[in-house]
Amino acid sequence: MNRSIAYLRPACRYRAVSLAVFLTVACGGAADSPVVNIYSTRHYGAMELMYAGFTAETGIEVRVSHGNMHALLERLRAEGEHTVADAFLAVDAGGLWLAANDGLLQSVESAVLEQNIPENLRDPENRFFALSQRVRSIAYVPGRVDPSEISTYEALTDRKWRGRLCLRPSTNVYTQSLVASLIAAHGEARAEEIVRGWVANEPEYIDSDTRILETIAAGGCDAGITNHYYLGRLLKANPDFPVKMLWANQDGRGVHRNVSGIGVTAAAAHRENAIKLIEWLSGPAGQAGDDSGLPGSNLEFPVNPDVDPHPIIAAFGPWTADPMPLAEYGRYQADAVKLMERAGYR
Amino acid sequence: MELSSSLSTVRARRATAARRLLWSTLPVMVAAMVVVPMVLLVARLLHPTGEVWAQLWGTILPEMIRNTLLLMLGVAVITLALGSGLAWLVTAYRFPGSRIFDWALILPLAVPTYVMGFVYMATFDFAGPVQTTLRAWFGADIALPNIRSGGGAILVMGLTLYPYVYFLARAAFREQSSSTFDAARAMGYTRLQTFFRLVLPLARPSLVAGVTLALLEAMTDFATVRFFNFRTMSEGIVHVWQGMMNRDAAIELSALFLFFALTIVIVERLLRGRARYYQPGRRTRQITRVTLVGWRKWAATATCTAIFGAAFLLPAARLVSWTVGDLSNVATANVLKTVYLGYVVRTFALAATAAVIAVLIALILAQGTRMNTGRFGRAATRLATMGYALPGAVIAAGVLITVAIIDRTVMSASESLFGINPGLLLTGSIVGLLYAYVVRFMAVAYNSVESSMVKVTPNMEEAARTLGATPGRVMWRVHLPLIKVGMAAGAALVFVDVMKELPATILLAPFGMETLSMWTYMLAAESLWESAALPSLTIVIVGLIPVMLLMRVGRMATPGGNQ
Amino acid sequence: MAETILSLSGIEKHYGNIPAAVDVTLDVRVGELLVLLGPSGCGKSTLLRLISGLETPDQGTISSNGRVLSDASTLVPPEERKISLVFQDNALFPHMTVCDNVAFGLPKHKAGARTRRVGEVLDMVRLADVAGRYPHELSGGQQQRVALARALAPQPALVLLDEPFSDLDRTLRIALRDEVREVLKANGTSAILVTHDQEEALAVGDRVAVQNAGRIEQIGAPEDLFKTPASRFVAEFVGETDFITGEVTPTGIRTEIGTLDQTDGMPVGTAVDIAIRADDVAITPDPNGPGTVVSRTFTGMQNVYRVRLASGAIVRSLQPHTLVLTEGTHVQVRAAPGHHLAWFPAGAYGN
Repeated sequence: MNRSIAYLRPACRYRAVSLAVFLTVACGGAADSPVVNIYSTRHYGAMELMYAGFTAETGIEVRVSHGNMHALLERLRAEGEHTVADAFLAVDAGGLWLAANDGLLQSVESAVLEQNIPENLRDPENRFFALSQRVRSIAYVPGRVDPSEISTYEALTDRKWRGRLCLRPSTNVYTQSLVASLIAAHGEARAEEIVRGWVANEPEYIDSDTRILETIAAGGCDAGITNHYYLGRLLKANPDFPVKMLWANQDGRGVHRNVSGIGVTAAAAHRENAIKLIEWLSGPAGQAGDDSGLPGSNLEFPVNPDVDPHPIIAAFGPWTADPMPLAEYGRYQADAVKLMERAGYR
Repeated sequence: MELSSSLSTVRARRATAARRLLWSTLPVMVAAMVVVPMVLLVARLLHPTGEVWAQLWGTILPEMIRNTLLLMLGVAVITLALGSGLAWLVTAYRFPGSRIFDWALILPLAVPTYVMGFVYMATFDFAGPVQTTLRAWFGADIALPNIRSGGGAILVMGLTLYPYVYFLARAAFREQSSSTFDAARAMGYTRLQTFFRLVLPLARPSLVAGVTLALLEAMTDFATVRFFNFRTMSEGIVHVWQGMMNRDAAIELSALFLFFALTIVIVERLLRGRARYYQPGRRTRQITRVTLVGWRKWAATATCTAIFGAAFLLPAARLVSWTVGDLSNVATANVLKTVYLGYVVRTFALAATAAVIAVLIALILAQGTRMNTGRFGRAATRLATMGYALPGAVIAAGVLITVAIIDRTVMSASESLFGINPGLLLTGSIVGLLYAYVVRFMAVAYNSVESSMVKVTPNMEEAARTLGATPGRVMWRVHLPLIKVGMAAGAALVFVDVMKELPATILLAPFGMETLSMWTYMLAAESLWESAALPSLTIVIVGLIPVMLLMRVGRMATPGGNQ
Repeated sequence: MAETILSLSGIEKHYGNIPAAVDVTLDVRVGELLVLLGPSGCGKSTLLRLISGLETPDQGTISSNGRVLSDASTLVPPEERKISLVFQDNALFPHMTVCDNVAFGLPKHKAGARTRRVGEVLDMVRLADVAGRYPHELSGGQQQRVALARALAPQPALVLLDEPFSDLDRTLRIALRDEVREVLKANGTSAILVTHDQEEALAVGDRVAVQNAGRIEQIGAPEDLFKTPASRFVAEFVGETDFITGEVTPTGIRTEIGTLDQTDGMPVGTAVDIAIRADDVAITPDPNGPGTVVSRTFTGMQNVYRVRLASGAIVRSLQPHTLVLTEGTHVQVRAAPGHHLAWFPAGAYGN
């Protein structure tokens, strides 16, 4: 008897929850409540604390629906002008471009944003804005590898790296963006040669940047390509972690830089609130390089030039980024996937 | 007097006709509800996308098909061997711990394959503690086979999915009477020979059903195989959809997938044969347990311990230690405190609601199929339970299309009738997600309800009718009490499945309805294993409750088992 | 003429090409136990289901106490017919105690009245002491008695029993069938009992209806069926009957085992098949006799011999247990009925 009551209770409470959800959904268009709804693919780095800071300052409540990027895009498309989302937050420039290109995002005129975010970290039409920068470069263990031998992505095609590389599979969006940048820099044919060169070296495919770094540290491979902040996290936990990061292609076009960013949806019901949130996130509080800021909490580089990065990553040294415009990432992403399939990249 | 009596009888004839009509159309309507999303998906096949398709054939599709077949073969062999072997061990023998293993061996059912996947990955890959320790002891050249491979994926799936076979085989072995077993022994067969010659063939329908469940789960999984770099077709669907941004090609791939799934389901029916409609036999004595002695008893204990350790203790221990580690970190602990309870409540509520709906619909289907033996009704029911063979992502896509059509219809109707635009009522709401769950897990609920419905013989129904009970009263007094255990079992299974479900949840969960499985997957995909441990552990622990319930039900459903 | 509780007229029911009821017309009298006898698949269970309302006839009228239960425009659902049914597998509700099973048909009774009535019927079947048990805790015979009690509890106009004893062993079957008859008679309940066992039919039935391929071939008292079967089928099915051929002569019907003192007004020369039973055949050992003993079945008080005649036909003969002949013994065979024998046109089956 008691058991059946215990089973019933959550169901009852749930009805209240779903009713609330239903009402929000049904009334979302008309209500002028101080709220902003976000579809977000960023689910790490204490985002809840950041939103709480924004709410404390503005009184605007932040509601977040997390999801895989493509799932959220699919939903934005299906919901069209009736979407409840006011903003779309993605951890990949390609995803933002895809959303903008499908007309899911709108242009925003804001002096604050133009001031906080350099031009090359904004969409030319101001449909989306970068909030943090992540660099995808080459990791190695000093002593085992001479950094001069791995100074470029292209150098990893050399036969001497056979059986010594750890790479992330093609299903991962970071890999896709990196290959897209190769297409943008070299054209499709040359990019395919480079990828084939990696494949010929029979890399170990590991679907986790952290694990790639740990495998390098353990001696499972000698070099790998990862985002810088994963190394930052490992160093934060263990300052003696033996792996170092090298900024690739510094003598050429620059290292591959991606961003996480945000845009206001075309059908945003709370457009002004969404803009306020983006302005706040790009301002000094939101950009803080320590644990309280969006870039800092995940050891990424801020976009706001007035803010210093977290000391752990500042120690990685200065870098020059591939000047590829943010919009290009998305444009070549599908081509990158097909290219990797042709080349036999996992 | 005569007039009133003839009036009442006319009314009765009408009521009977109406009842018959209701019961013959209701299952078809329910089945249609379940089938429509699939039909809408298949309808998209009418515009094939040649280019992507050609690229797929030229590149990864052959490998995906080969891997899918390999996965199915491997999982079938492992689950069959582990499931039936362990079930026989605990049913026929007594050895140290046998009573505990009897129920403990089903516990891995509560561990989702993707959780098991990341735990094994983190434990056994090159940088993991096992290989690191081995290298420390034996030098840098020592290496285990690469876990990040098809073999690793098959091993992990075999270890998490064997309980399906174990559970059904165990119940089947217990239903077998000792007299047939003893007869074989009297004819000179050893216990082991009897097991292979008699016990296994007799349990074939249950074994086939168990392996089928395991295979369908393995086939529809996309997260685990992705962890292991093992591309299967269901991984391919997600990949084509999300990586190549081609939903139509993904849907075409789903159709190919559907062919595989259909093959499995048809093979299952063929293998089950006529044994499908077994009559619950008279109470019989169970096969007598033999007490093992000497090295045999320790070998039995060691086997069970090894499997239980690998399939449950290891992941549980790692999850616990990660959770403890994560909670000791002040920053993450604060975040957890604010969000954890919400995840638990939401997941629970969602799973319970879906379970109740699925069981109620299953009840309608099962009763409808009984009352109306037409071929159409049966076909409808079979279609309605096909969702189990489809990946969650495919179902989610179908539901998305269906719900959008309903919404648009409602909107235009409301605008033209009342001049009010209600907005999207269902899209992005909880309804779509529940809809997808019900479609996906209808078979689970239906099979439980239907198999318990067998206990209600048509004669019982008829006896009740001739004793003056209306059909409603018959349902309430005769059916419900007899099938409530089956309903509870069905609900429990759906509950666990919903809790573990990933792709459909990711695609359809509305605002603020994130579940534990989403949380787990997103963190695990980022290899934030420590943070993924708490939600995983919660899924496992909550999943244990229905699994235990299932064990009790299984015990009760076994003749003589509840003494 | 006794009052009628149930009457069927012109009932037809076919499943595809298979006839289950063909032009069935019969009455059940108040307080009567009518036995419906026939081989399996003859449609007798279907007839019960039609009467109880679980199936709908294609044609014909069923009425009870003057009230139409089923005809072209009327169909009373089973729960309103006051006709209860006892099944071969007893169909007890496994999740209810004996007491709850019996009380199931009494939902409208007040608690006190219900308890009283349950007590009454359980007393009637001598099962008051197991009222609290579950069906699976009872023996097969007890289960069937509970099923009967459950059927009787609502005081139905008619009880239908569908092969209620065939799942039981022989001793139990005989004891239970006598008990059921007593209970029904003591209660004054009208009943139809379906069986394929002719011995059971003759033993318990006030009247017996023989059904074949959907059609009722004969209804009558057990003795009448035995003495004057209306068809060759009835003769074969009721009372173990052998057939011998005969030809009508002016003095009687001539057969190879003697001439019967009856012509029944048939023209001389007519060929007939005569139904003859074991007690109508006498044998005496004779090395030159035309008959040969094929087998002997010892039943205690008597020996039943199977004897092959010169023509190859086999007849049975009932002899005292003192006469013991081995197989192969030659015998003289003589028809000695001492009463009129039934006959049928030669070779023709059916009527």
